Amino acid sequence: MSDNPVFAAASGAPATARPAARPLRILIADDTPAIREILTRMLRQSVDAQHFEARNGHEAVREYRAKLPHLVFLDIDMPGSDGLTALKEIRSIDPQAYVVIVSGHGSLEKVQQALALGVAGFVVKPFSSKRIAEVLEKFAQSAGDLGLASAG
Amino acid sequence: MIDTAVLGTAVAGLALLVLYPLVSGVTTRRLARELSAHKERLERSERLHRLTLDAIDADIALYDADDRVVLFNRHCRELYGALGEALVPGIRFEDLLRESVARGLVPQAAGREEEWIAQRLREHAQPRGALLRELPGDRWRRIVEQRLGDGSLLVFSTDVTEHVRREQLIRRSAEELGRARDEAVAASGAKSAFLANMSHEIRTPLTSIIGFAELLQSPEVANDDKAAALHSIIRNGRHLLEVINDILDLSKVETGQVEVERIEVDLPVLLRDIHTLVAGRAKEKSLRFVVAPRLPLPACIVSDPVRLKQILLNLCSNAIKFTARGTVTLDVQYTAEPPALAFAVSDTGIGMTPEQMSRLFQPFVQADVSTTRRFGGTGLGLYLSRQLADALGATITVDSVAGEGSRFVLRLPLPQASRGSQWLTLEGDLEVRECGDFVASGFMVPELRGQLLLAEDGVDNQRLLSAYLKQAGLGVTVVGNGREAVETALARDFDLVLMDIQMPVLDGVSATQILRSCGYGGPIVALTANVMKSDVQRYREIGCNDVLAKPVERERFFGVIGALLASDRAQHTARADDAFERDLVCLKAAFCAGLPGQIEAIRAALLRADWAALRSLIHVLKGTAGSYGFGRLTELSAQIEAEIATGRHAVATRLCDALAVEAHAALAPAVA
Repeated sequence: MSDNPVFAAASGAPATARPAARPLRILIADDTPAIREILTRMLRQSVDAQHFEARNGHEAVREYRAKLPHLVFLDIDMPGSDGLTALKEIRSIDPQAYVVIVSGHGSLEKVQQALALGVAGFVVKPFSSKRIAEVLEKFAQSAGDLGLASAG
Repeated sequence: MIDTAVLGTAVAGLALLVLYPLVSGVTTRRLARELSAHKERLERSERLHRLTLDAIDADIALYDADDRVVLFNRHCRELYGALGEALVPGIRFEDLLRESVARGLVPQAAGREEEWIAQRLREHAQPRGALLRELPGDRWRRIVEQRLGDGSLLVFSTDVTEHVRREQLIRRSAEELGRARDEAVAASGAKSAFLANMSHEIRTPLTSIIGFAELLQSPEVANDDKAAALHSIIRNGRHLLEVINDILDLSKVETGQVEVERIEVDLPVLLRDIHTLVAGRAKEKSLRFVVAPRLPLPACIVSDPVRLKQILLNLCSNAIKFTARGTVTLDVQYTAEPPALAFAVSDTGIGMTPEQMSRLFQPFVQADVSTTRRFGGTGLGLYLSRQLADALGATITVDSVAGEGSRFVLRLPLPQASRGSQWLTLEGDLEVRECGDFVASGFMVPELRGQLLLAEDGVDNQRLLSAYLKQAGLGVTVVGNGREAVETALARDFDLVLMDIQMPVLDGVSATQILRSCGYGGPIVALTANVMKSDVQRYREIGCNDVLAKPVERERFFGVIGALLASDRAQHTARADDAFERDLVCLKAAFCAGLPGQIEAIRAALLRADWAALRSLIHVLKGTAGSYGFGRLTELSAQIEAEIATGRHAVATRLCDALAVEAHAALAPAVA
């Protein structure tokens, strides 16, 4: 399992046939350690991936630039740096960046604002493992479509 | 003119004869000169007459008193050209007539030659006005015969073919117009009768519905009466829905909008559904309803399940309607050459006369008006069934004996059985057998588990659907518009979302699109009155798992919800493996262990009135507690955070107390 980015558990699709693929990289940006931990644990249930963490918006942008993760979970209510600004910067680094917003506020306006900035998902805290699994499933489908899983 | 010419010639001749001896001796040469000049004038005059006659666009013939031809003009010669050598001066009229008839130049005379000739001769002897004569090649002539003073006869005839044709055309148009008008009047009469009928059909159940509903309003109604009233309201409401559906279907049929699907239809399921729907009605009339499949049958056919079911239900309801006692049977048989399924609905009812059968499949027409009064219905069922059968490529035939019963057969041609197609060969392959096995009222509310979000703006529908869902043991949260639907679905866990399409603030389509964009993966079922195939297709494309038509039919409602809940649960149970559950228990234990410390830190921050620190602590608690199953802590934390943000510190402090209490309550069972 470890040498393949495997979405099999999430998507039901067979593992990619390309052996050279490097592991999936996921960046979790949240100011609360407990959230980062529980999200990491939930993700590990479905995918085998390298996890990177960030505690605020600045770190999130820096980590994104350094690791170019396939998937980003970004809290937009982090203190200090505005998550939306981080989102915009990440999207300017890579317009294709697959960013899932994690937020404590799920008002329609906030959701629509994020969707307008091109996010691929919006999860409201507190979230269940089911919601995270659904988000991963959607990611796996689009990753499959883009061949991202094997492109490394 | 003829008279003048003839007389002129005669007078000139006579003058010559009388005068010659008298003048011969005097100026013979002068006379001869004058005579020659006169003759020349005469000839010129005669030539002029001849030219004039020939130039006239009509046939002119002159017969002498002996009825012999004296002259024909050019037209006449051409017209009778077919007579050839027979047409010579001196020929008698009768001979000419006989010659013409003999040569077939008089179509009017065909087959009754002598009679015609005799009649024509009578007319000829005493000319009276104009005659119309048909010539070969559909030509027509108007003939005028006129006796002249000296006993000779002038026959003058003109070609009136164009005139006659125009008259015929006008007469035919007038006849057609008359017929069209009669048809229009009849159709409009049928439509008026239909509208009157329809009005009656709609008012009758509405009267019952309103009447019983008003009855229910008065407080002193006994419980038994209430139940009876409700029963009547439901029954009449259903009937009304049926009538309206028929009318809408009819308008679709008439505008050619019938859409037909070609998908796999599970035959046992189709038969079971029909049994379930028909057996109840049969039982109400103490009739037996038997579904009798004749094996072997294909397990699956390709057709439009909705239309097919509609036709069969129509035929079955019809049979029940017209049967007072006995049995209604639906038997199903497969024929191989060519491959087809024959669904035959037989009854032991009143039957029909051949005359009634001939009018059976026309719209608006039941056997007669009294039938409508006696048996109800829209009179559209069979017409619709036949139109739908046409659309499916099927046929409906009927066989009936008045007083004994009827048998309607729907013959549905099948494409060649596909490879690997399954066959039902044993009784056990069918879920359907003789009717006795089924509970007649049919429907059992299923027992389901799960939390549902119902997004629906209509209060009545909210109540009704909530009642349905609760009846099945499901938890329901109700919201009234698309905004609330999005916010609630994202904030909490639901096993299924029922999404009304037409809602204020944000409609169901946008709400569904936003939820899907947010990565919301749970089942969403659209609720809508727009159930055209194109609408349903669109709702599926934007991310609805299924579509339920309004008004909601309870059986299908539970069918759709039950199926989606089952498949969604199976998917997620498979995923949540034991290791994760263990992890979660450990994490939860760790959270619980840390919780008193967090509460203590909150209390300390409160004492210091360090609102920034407090806000940070509360923020963390808000984000985590819910994920470990402590939703109430998260809710309180969210409120506290908001109060701090707006500077209402007193309220925040009070809420923090409540938070502490809640935390202890949450820990109590965990500790125990």
